[in-house]
Amino acid sequence: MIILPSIIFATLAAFMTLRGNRKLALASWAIAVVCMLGAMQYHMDDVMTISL
Amino acid sequence: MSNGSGSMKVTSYPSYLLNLLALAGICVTLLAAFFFQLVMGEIPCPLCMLQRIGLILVGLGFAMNVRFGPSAVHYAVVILSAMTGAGVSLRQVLLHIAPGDAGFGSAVFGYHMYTWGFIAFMGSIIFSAVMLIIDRNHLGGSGHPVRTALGSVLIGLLVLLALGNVASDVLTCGFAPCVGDPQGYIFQR
Repeated sequence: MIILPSIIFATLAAFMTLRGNRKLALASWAIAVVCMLGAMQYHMDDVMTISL
Repeated sequence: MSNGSGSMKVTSYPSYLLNLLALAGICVTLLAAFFFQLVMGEIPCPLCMLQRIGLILVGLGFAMNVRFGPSAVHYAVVILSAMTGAGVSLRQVLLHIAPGDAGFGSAVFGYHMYTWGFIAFMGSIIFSAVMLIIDRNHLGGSGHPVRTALGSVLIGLLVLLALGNVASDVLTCGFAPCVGDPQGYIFQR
């Protein structure tokens, strides 16, 4: 559920590229990246065994 | 091969072929990920799914260069997507970097898939930087879609692979947050 929106918008962006709609493709890409950053914030919470 | 005089000009650029090859490389990488999932039975973890999305978004930048002609905006799409994906890859590399850690999933040619993912993302950034130099006089794009048979097939394949990942995510996680180390699909639990 957390990851799904970014895949859906990435798919939409690829489909809009196939259809030849550049503006919608870029808008979908931007939303996909924002959703992906949100999913990264949620899922990248493991404690690492190294000190940075 | 192309429709219209404008598209003929764009497809004659060396970057058209190079972006087509880069898009094919992304599609092969995503197909390899599905091979390991469907044939080898390795269920993708949340970080693996995020790296796949990063690859799709990188491929989108190449696809836009193929479809609309080379543009600085399209190369920016590749670079920003690759940086996001590389962040996930690097995080997973660091999770398994300690001596004695067997890593997650099987190794391919000696490296785990997240390590290959990091190499692919870095390669995409370097490729885009070089292409920005090669295309420096042709970065306006064509202004209209360029439809070629091979371009449409590869972009169509990217759409299908993205749809496959939608199905994969739903079958792995359902509509709940994904678990860190999934042991099977939702219909197997």
